[in-house]
Amino acid sequence: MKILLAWFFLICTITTFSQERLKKIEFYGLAKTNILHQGLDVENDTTNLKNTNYGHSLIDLGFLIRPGANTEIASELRIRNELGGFWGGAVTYGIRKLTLKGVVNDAIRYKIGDINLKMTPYTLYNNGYQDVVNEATVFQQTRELIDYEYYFEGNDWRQQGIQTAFGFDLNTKNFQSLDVNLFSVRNKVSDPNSATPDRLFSGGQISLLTALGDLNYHSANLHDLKNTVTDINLYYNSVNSVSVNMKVDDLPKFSLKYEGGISTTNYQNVQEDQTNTFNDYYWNIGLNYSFNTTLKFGLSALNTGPQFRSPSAQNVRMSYSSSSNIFPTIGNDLAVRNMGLGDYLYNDVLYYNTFDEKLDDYNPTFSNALPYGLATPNRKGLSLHIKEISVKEILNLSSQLYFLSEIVGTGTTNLKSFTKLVTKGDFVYKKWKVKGGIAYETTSREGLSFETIDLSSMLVDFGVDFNLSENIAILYGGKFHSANGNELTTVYDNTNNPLYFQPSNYNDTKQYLHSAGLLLSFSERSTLTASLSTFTQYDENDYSVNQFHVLYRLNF
Amino acid sequence: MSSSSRLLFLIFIFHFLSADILAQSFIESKPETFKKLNISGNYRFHLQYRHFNNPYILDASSLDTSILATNTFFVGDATQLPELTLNISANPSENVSFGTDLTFWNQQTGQFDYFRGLNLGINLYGSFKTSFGNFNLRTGGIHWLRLSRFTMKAAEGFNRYSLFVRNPWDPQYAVFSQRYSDYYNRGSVQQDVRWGNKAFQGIAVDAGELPLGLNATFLYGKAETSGAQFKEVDNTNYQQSVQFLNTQFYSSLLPSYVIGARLTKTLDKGDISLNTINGYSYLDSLAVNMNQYEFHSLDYMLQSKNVTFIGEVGVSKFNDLDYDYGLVAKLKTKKPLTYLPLDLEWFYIGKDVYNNNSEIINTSVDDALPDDPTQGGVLAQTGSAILGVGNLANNRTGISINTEYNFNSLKINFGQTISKELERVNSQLTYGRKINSVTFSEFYRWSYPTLAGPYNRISKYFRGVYETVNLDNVRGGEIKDDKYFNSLELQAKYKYSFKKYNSFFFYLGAFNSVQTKFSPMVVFTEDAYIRQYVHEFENYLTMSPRTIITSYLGFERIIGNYETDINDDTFMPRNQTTIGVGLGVDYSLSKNTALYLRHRYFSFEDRNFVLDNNNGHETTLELKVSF
Repeated sequence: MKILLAWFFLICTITTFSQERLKKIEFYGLAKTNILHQGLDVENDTTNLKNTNYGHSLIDLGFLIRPGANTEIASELRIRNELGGFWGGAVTYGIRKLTLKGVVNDAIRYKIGDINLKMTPYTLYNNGYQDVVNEATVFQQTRELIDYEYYFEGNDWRQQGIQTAFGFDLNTKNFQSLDVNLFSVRNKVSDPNSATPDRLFSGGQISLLTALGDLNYHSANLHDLKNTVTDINLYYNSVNSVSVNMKVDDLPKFSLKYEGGISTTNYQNVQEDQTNTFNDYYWNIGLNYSFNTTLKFGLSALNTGPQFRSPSAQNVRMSYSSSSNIFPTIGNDLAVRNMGLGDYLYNDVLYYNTFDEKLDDYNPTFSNALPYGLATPNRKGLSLHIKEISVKEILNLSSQLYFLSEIVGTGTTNLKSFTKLVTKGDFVYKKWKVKGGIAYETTSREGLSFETIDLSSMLVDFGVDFNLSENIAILYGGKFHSANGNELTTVYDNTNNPLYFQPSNYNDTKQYLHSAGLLLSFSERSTLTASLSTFTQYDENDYSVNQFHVLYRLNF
Repeated sequence: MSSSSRLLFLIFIFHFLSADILAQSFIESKPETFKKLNISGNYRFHLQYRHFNNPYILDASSLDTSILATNTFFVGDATQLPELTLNISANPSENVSFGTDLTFWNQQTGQFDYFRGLNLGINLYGSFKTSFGNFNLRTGGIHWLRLSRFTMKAAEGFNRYSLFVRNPWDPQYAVFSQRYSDYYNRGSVQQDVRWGNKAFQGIAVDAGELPLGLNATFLYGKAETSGAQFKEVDNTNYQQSVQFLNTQFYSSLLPSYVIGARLTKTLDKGDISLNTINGYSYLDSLAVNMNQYEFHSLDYMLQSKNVTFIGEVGVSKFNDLDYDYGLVAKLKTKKPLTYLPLDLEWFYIGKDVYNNNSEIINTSVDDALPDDPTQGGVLAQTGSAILGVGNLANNRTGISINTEYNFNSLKINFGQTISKELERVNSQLTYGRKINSVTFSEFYRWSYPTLAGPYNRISKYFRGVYETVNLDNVRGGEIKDDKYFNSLELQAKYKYSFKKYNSFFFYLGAFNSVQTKFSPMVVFTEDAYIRQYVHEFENYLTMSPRTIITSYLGFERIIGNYETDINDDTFMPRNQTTIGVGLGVDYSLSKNTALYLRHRYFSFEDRNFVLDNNNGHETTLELKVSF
């Protein structure tokens, strides 16, 4: 607390005395009000709370402090007050960000503190949402809030540590430049009580830009530090890869992409002096073809070994095993309410904002073909991409089609086959904007009755915006999800090897989320969205949640 | 290494060594920034020393442990107002703005631990114009706002109060004596945004310049009557990783809320408005039982050269009770017409009218809400309340008259309310203690107890206490008498010169009675259940532009008859005398910085309830810096 106060007064003092004279302080931030009023509609329930009303307002006040031309401190102070917290009740303070960055000798760039990191989908990559295809504007407003709150900026991971970057101009025709980017962050802090050692995540990439394209080397290493506690187990994972993006002048419409690498994972039992090591590899090669500027195709082949482990790229963004605090149980038998699309978007479900060595639980009805992104282990196959079809700048389409299968069987020698189709479209005409997308997946495995798998799932996004005026728009958004069939979902042990297979049956389950609202734009960066939504789930226990939502975002 | 590999390696090394280090651009992607942040506020050091000659008894059941300490030394404001307030605001663009006010407070216990909070919360504003009208938006809160007297508004009364006790929010002026001269000249001192308004959190939209000369207000959110319940928030151990969850601080997600609106038509000489408020306050953890109330009203203001008509009429419904109605009609005249400016008001508020967000004090509807504001209660006295001139309560009808007259430097104003309860619904009365009321309320610094004290008759509200009187008026299971209320207030304000500077003398008298028969005047006999007489004299002597000597004398008598509580030992009813004697100084240290010293002798004695006797001295020192 004293640190917080000291920080605040320091900021105020610096602000007061330096703002006008030195102009070294700048402010930025976000303020928002988020209010939700929800009602549960379920039959035969007299024991659960069926209406809720909550929300908060907050200000994130960001400071950019520049003591010199080559140094910058960025910090964000959060002040938050809950809806209904009168007279100073339910007020919280927090620091959202503290980063120092600068340049040494006009050559070496460095960052210390809260930093964003990303490399390739196989090495360091925060996989996106699985409940999104091409979301309507009314949902995007809230989705951006989740991004903001959990520091999801694209596919970056927010980490804490140090990063440095520098480069060399090679000054030749064939070799143009060499860029080096290195980082080391702390992934986990030691805990003597649980004999958990400090864990670092270190690595970097070296990029050589040539006349033919770029050649990159990536390294990502997650490793425990010895002797930070009385060690019982130590973990080590290393992923090293090479990627190439290449174009040949003689074939200007073609480009080649390749990435391949290896992983090594050690689970060391220090007390028994025993180490389990898992090595595997992956590769992904693709050829892109640009028919013209509005039509582009791609074809890829991929192979990711079953023992390939890359913790910083094999993640599920949301914890499907978490439950929401909103209407946690339904019915007089207090059955746990199955979460769905409405919860993922509006309610308190757990999003992971860091990674660990464990493969997270996933929901096969949202992503079974590639639950951990491209780095999903035990997959091989082909993918076809229609990357962009643009018609007179009013219609844009894209599509991805995957034909995948396991490399080794899981629980049987028979292999699962996966098909995944993702198609998106955007249509803009005068005051209308229409968005849509569909993700369709099938999983199958033949064999005896106990090994047969037949699962299909579909996720649909649809949205319409109509601009009443320059700053008022009517919004509609819909999401639909269905699943039918069965699956034996892999449950992994501590070394991420299949432990057992959890049978799951989906008897034509369906979820609908409809939302209609009004978007008021006060300025380019400040909007208010007021919406009425209905989320309906047809599952073991059917229910609906009706909702009124107000979200005012003020970016400054 | 093969020869080809070696060659490639050498080529690579050659290029590496001959390379120039690239200069880096420093700022990669910085957020858009703006440079102007407005910071204002005040610092207020408040020190209080209290000494009891005869200590106050908190609870008669355990006298040895429930007596307030003889000497108390306290740093900070006992009404929980902060030491440092920082108002932070900004207008990032032409039509959006935000503001918040950080508050810090240290009791200087040697532990260096600072309380911190927000005073008015986090307020976000936005506006935009359309061809249909102009819209202003307020979200977050606390916002202080009003609709109408019956729907959402706090009572303002007729500005008759003492200035000797300083309020934490009292402003500081460039002319040091302006606080007193304003009160003399205008009848009020500058109040902050709370004055006359109600606290609200949520979303409020004001629409102006609508077609047909209409203006509108819509609000949805939480008023004081629908506050939420929270877990204790530990900011010391507050973890960033979990701070994003929407519901993490709530101990209950009960959906209590209010929704209201006002539609105003502006006329050539006045306006007319339709108002509505609908409240939902849940009482149990499953949100099965709730208080659901609604109030729909029409209010108007029509003025001519010398006459103004102001009024409101509306219907109200509470839970399963039938609709009931309220009406208030005011006629204001100016001097040229009636020689004395008159303010005449008639009001009728039905027994089943209910809206704790309005000016109407609830005295007749059992709403089962806690009195403690931390649990969503409302800070107002209940029971058949003696409210003073101009205040409204349900189950009551009456008239008020107010006027004023100036004799050179002497200004006199007078007000009287005569009212009657419509139905006999309870056997209790309540009255607020006027003299030393803040001092009494600080006997309970951190809580809002009800029916506390040695005889379980004291309840606390913000900066005041009130007493509950039990009446012996039930015969055969029925309340045998009506209740009639008389309140009379007389105020005199006098300005005089001392050493060429303006000084001020104020007198405020308040006389109240409750009895079973109608009376055109306050009843001064045993016929009244309760009689309350209050006299307050204040003098503000300006010694120099930087020094004002303040003095105060307050005297209050409260007498009950034999149909009120009778003491088991003395067999006598209430016979209370309250005395307050004060002396102080306002001293301006520099521009925007001043010292306010107050000393008060306080004494309370109930001759017939001997445990409720206390007296002592209280000294407060306030150092205030505005910036």
